[in-house]
Parts: sequence; C-alpha cells; structure tokens
Amino acid sequence: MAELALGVRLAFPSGRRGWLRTAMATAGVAIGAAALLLGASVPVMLDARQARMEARADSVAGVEVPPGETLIVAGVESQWGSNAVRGRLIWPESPGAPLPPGVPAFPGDQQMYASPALRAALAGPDGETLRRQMPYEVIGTIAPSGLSGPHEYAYYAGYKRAESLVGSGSWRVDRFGYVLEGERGPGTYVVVAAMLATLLLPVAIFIGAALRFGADTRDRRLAAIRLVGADSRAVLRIALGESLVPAGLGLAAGTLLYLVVRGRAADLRLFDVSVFPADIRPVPVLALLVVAVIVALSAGMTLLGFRGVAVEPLGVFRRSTVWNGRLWWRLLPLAASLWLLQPVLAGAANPDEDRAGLGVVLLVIALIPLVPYLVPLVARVLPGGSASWQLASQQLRQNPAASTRAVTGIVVAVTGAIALHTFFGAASVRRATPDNPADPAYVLQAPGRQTPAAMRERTATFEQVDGIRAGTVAKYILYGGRDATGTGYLVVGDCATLRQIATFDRCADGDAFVQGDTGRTVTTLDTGHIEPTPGTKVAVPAGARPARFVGTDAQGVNVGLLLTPSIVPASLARAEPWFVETRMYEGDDAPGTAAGQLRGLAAEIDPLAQFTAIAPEYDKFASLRVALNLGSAVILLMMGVGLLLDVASRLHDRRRLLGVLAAVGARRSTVIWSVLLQALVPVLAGLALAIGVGVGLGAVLMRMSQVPVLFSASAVLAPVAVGSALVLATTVGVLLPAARRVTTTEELRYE
Amino acid sequence: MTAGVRAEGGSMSTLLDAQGLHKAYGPTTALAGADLRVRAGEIVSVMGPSGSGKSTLLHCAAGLTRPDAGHVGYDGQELSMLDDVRRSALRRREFGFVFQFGQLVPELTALQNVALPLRLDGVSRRTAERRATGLMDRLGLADKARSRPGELSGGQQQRVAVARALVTGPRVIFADEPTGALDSVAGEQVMEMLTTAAREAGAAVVLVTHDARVAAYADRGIVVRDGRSSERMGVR
Repeated sequence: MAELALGVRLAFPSGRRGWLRTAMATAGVAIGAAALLLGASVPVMLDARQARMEARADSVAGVEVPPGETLIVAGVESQWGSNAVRGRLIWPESPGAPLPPGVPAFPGDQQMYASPALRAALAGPDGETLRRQMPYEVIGTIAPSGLSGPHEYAYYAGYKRAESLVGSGSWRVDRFGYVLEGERGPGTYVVVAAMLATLLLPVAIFIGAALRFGADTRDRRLAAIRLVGADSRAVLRIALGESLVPAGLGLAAGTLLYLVVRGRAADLRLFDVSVFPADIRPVPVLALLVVAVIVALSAGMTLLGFRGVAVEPLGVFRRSTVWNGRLWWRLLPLAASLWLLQPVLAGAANPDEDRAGLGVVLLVIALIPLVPYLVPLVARVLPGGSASWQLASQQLRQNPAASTRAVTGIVVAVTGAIALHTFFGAASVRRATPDNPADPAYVLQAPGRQTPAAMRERTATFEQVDGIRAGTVAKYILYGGRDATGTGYLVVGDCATLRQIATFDRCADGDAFVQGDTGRTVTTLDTGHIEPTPGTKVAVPAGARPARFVGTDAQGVNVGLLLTPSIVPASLARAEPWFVETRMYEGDDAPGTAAGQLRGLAAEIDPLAQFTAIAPEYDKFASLRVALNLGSAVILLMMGVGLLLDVASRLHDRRRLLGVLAAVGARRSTVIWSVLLQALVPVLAGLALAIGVGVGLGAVLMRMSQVPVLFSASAVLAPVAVGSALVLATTVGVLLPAARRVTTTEELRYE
Repeated sequence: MTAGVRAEGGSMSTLLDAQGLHKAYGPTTALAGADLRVRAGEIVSVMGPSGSGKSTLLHCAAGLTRPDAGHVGYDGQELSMLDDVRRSALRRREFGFVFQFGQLVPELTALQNVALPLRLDGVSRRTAERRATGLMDRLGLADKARSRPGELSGGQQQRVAVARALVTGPRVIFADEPTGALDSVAGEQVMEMLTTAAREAGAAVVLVTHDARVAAYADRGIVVRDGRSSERMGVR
C-alpha cells in the first residue's frame, strides 16, 4: 500500500512536461470514460423509450373491442420536413374511457394536446402550413410520459366524427399499452456493431496512448527509486499507483463530461429519435464495468509498458531485439472474420446476423496487428535514397510497434468511416429514388365514393401547388374467389390519370382497357368484410382495348380493367370503391415545401386520408451522416491528439540520438525529414490499408442490408482526406517546431 | 580537510570484501580480477583513468551489478547469491549511494527525497520525515526541505543526496564521482559534508573519482587500470 501511495504521490508532477503528461493522460481517460459511460447508457435509454412507446401503444391488431368504457382512436401518421408526426384523433365513448399517457384530460371536439416540439413548430415560421394538417385548437401539452422523445411531433385531437368511422378508419381501445412488434430492420444490428467497433476501439487505443505518454520519464524516476532500495515488485506497485491517478482523475472528469453531454441530450437528435436527459442513465453493472475497464486498462498499459524494459538501480535497460514480425498469427483475426462473414460474402439469403456482426467487429480488430507488419514491409520495399529516409526506414523496421501505436487508431477510425460512408451513400441512393420510375411521389388514399367531377376537383386542388401534377382515380380490388384476396384492379379515371397507371394506345372518354383474360365480367371485392366477399359484378365492355399496368400497380396483377368515367355502369357508380386515390407527381420546379403543402391539403379533404410519400421527402440518412461525420471528426481529433502525444514522446526519447546526429554535422533538414518520414510513412501505409478494408467492410454492410453494392469516390476519399489533413496539421503544426527544438547539440548537455 | 589517517591493517574488521571480480559487457572487458576490501568506518578512494572499470567495481561491490566471476562478501553474506528482494533490502538499510546525478526524484521535495529510503522500508511518514528533517538540519539543508530538486543548485542537490544516503544509518556509502558535475568550491563543500557525516555515523565510504583532490579525503586508495586493482601508494 505504501508503494501504491508513493506512486499516487509521484503522479502529481513537477515541471511543465510532467503536468502536461498527467493532463494528457487524464484527458484521454476522461474522453474514453465519457464515451464508454454513454455506451453503457444506451440500453437504459432504449428501454425507457420503448417502455413509453409501449405504454401508449393503441394498435389492437385487428381485434374488435366491444363498446363500453372505450375510446375511439384514429391514427394520422404524417410527416413535417424530416420529422414524423404521430397524430391521434380520439373520442371517448364513456367518461371511464382510457386516457392516453401524458394527456391530462380528453380534449373537446376540434381541440388538441400537442407535444412541445409540435407546439414550437406550429408557432414557427411555417406554422400556418403545418396547421393545415392539424387545424385544431391547442389546449395543452403532452407530458414526457406520452412521448418517445423530447423532439417528437405528436398530438391527440378530439374528433367526434371518429365515432361514425369505427371499422373504416377508426377503432376502439379499452386501454393503452399493447405490446409493440420489434422494429429492427435487417442488417441494423451489423451496422450498429460496425459503428461501435469503429468508435470504441480507437477510444481504447487513445486511452492506451495517453497512459503511455511520458513512460520514459517515469522509468528513469523508478530507477532512482530502485537505487535507494525498492525491489522490482515494489517498483511495479509504485508504477501501478502512479497510473491510478490519471485513471481516477480521468474517470471523474469523464463522469463530469458525461453529465454535461447528458444535460445537452435534449438538444440532440439522431434519425427521428430524441432522448430525454432523464433516460440517459448507465446500467449499474455496465457503469461498474466501465470503471473496471478503465482501471484494468491503465494497469494493463502500465504492465505492458514494462515489457522488454528492465528498471534497475543503475538505470533503465531496454531489451533491444531485432523485430521479427511474423505474419501468420496477424492473419488469424482476418481469417476468422472472413470465415464469419463468408455467408454474407457468398450472398446467402438470410445470413445469421449475430455471426455477421461478430465478423464485422473482428474485421476491424484484425487491422490492429496488421499495421505494425505493414509498416516495416513498406520501409523495406521503398527504395533507399536520402540519408533522412535511411534513418527513418531503419527506425521503422526495427521498432514498428512504437511507430504505429497511435496510427492504428487512425486506421481503425478511417476504415470504419469509409465503410459506413459508402454504406449510407449507397443506401440513400436506393431510398431517395422510387423503386419504379413510373410511380408517383405521393399518393392520397381516402375511403368513400366520388363523382367524376369531385375527382377532377380533388386533382385540381393538389395541382394548385407549384410543380405538382396530379390525377385521381377510384380503385376497386377484383374478387378472385374465396381463397384469394384479389387478382387485380378495376380503376376508374380520366384518360390523363389512367395513363399514369397503364400504357395503352389512345384514349377518349368512353374508352375501356383491359389487361389479361378477364372473361366477360369482373367482380369487385366488397372491402367491408374481413372474409373475401364478392361485390359488384361489372361487364367488361366489348370494345375494351388491351393495356398494361406499369409501376407498382403492375406488381402481382394478372387482370385489370380500366374505365373512363362515361363508360362506368350505374351499378358500379353506386358501389363503394376500395378507395379513391390521388396520385401526385413532383416536377423539378416543385418547391421544397411541396410535401408539407400537399399534406395540409390532404388533411383538409379528410384528416383520416392516408397520405403516403413513395419517395422520401428528405434524405433519411442525412442526420445519421451528420452524426457519423461528427463522430468521425471527434474520433479522428482524439487520434490526432494521440498521434501528437506519441510522436512528442518518441521525439523526447530520441533527443539524445538526434543531438548526436546534429553534433556530427548532419544537416538539420536531414534530421527533421527523418523524423517527419517516421511519422508520415506509417500513416500513409495505414490509410492505404484502411481504404482496402473499409471498402470491403462497406460491401459487407451493403450486402447485409440488401443495398446494391455501390461505391462513390467521395465516400471513400473524404475520411482519408480528413485523416491526412489531421496528420498534416499535427506534423506541421506541432511536430515540426518540436523537432526543430530537439535537433540541436544542446540536447547533449545532460549526457 | 578533516579526513583522518587510519593505519592499514588497523583494528577495524573487514566489512566488504570483493575478490577476483570479472565483468565483461559484450566484447569489452570492464573488470579482469579486481579486488576491493573495505573495513568498517574507513574511506577508500577508487581512482583510475576513464574506462578503467572503477565504476563497474563499485557497482559490483554494491550488488548493483552481478560480476561474471569472483565474489563479493558483505558482513558474512555473498552478495551475488542474494535475490533482488534481499539486495534491495541491503540498499535500503545497509548501503547509501551518492552518484554524479540523476538519483533524486524530481517529483518529490528535498525532504521527501531524503525520507524515501525509510518510507520504502515501511517507516511511517511522520517518523521518516522527522528523522530526515533532523539530518537535514544537521547538514545545513533545513531551508531547502520544501524545495524540489529542480529548484536546487547542483551542489545543493548533491548535499540532499548525501543526506538521503545517510538517513538510514548505513554501514557503507558508495559515492561515484559525487563532485563530477560541480565546481571546485561546491565540490569541496559536498566532500567535506560527506566525509564528516560518514565519520560521525561510523559509515565506510567507497569513493570513486578521477580527481586527486577528492581522493585526498580518503584514508586509503586503490587504483584500477584495465580492470585490475592495486593498492594506491602515497595516500595519507
């Protein structure tokens, strides 16, 4: 214990360099601890969010709830910019009806409780356009218990008309808190695993680099203590005690940093997810694990630092051996990861996600032993030339582990960034484009009969918005027998609108078109029943000409009948269509707010109408890309600081040699170039490796998520450029002046 | 100078006896059969040209380096047979060291540096610092107790090192060029202090130096040349 205490005492240094060492190590541990604590909070965060979402869940999954102490609910899922809007139109059937979580009382007809974020948006500059989607009087705010996060756009509006729509747009609930189905999409787990591996590994490497900073000074100090009677074990205990200080201070500072980030959590949003600060609490076991990991890491790095070093009373002796890097064991993690990823690479239909996730993490880890092998290889392969390169290449060959310690973190971070950038790039290309170019940008589906004139009027309503071309049709599903839900569509619309759905030769009002063998009559499906029930029988006009459905409408359609309004038989005009559908196409001249305007118009027609954006109104991955860029920047910045610490430490270690070189007449430029090349060559070699592995990892992620494998130069080169810029800034801004200082004969003064 | 004259072969018993020491560093032979005998309380100088092996002789005699051949007996024990723990204990309790530089811990104050061997030996902080303070007072270092080594002059640092070497009441002090980095005035002060304090404490001193003025503080001297030692004539 006395030795541990002495070690603690020694960690409070004298002199600028000593304080810098402790400060850097503390900062490194603090950043790492904060990152790990945030990671440890994710499960609680997700659980709390999930619990609130389950508590308010109102989907009865098709089960009919009898009237009683029930609430009538109609769902309005909408969108405002990049924010999903969760709307519920409610009406209690009795005073004992269940109250939605977070709502203090039932709103009256046309009144609503809105989430704080929605209230703020309604009061904002485009509030009037948004208000058209929910033209209700705001009478209060939904409490956090009724929201998934602080930035959620949600409202509960009183809507008396919902009573008359039970079964066709609204439903009864006798409680809230139905169990939600899992929402995780394919490949999500693998992407999260890749993100965690690429974020946390560099953090661990950074903590290691920070803790090793100044190890040479420590070793000399310990040698002095050995001289006055400390044995080798006592020295180890002193060193461990010394390492506990940055670990302890770093943990304290990291906890503070974590609390600061937690306090700002309400301002942060990722995807459509925001979190309440109160939900950010580490899982106690994981928090203890973080403390244990930090302490173990600091102790481990200390013990590792003594590998190959003998601290003796007469000084510090480093066992200098010729580095003999063997490749075979370095390839083991890579081989294991490729084996794990083999089903994905082979294009298996449903690869095991756990296995693939492990493979991805292992692929990132596989880089760590490869970098120290690659660097001396590059040093050997590159032709010998100037004296500075000879000096640098010797050092790189003999001690590649030291030269690449900080670089490994950069390589891991850049690899992850390349992989995730290429993945999100390809995913956004796929999702920003409708799967079928014949599909409209938006579709409004509303139940109820419509006259041709009303349909034309509806079309005209949406075409008021600049750049929007619309068309309204009445759509019926064809009855295909008891065991089939339908075999095709019967569509009624004017010629211009029918052309959006199918191709045919020419069209005038009174024409009819047919696809496939319909026979002489078709029967619509009566959608008012759960079981397939035949509806209205319609004779296929004799002069019907052939047509072919296009776009999504063509999928799964064997037969189809398209009728212009004046040929529609009276029997059909009296029947209820499946729905009336307005299809909207967005021209290049459409304003950015077109979607918001169209949603407002749709809500005015019928608040329960289903408005669907076929192509997304915004880049869903934009926020994730911003987060990724931010994360990459922070990680690369940490790596830059780590590289700086490492290079400064190695320069300090080698100042005697550099002083000797200066003393024997070596040009200062030669010495400085040798130092620069030692820093730059490992980085360049590492970045080349990062490109190779990053692109491969990106391809794996794309395959896992069924995204077409597609690479863009910017996605690959941007992280490399950022990494290179960082190294350049470190070397030019810090290393160069430091190198100038130590390449003087003055450094020999103390020898 | 207060160095006393002691007769060779006097009544004092042999405390440290190094015989036939050999030591090579790779192809370089540092010691080739050197001997060193130290009696309790005497001051022995070890002189010789650069690279002659005098520092290696001191290191072997103090158990800091294991000789390739030969033996070092201290108080009935063979040093080369002792493990690291027991040799470390000897350094804490029986030996003291004053080297040219690098032996003070820069993070600790002068007082903490002096108290360090006691602390490593399990003495409580209060007791260790009380004893260190008493010694520093006697050696005229009272006003430097709270200073860190970086705030002291070279001479003051060496005086702190002398205090640290004496604080455990050692029986042998090994001094390797203790004035090598000092000017002549500071060097003389340090030597005066070292030898006086050692004599008062009854500690023997092995004094490695290439400076004849420093060697003059010794009771007797040996010369090391090409790894071999011989008794130096003409020492008081």
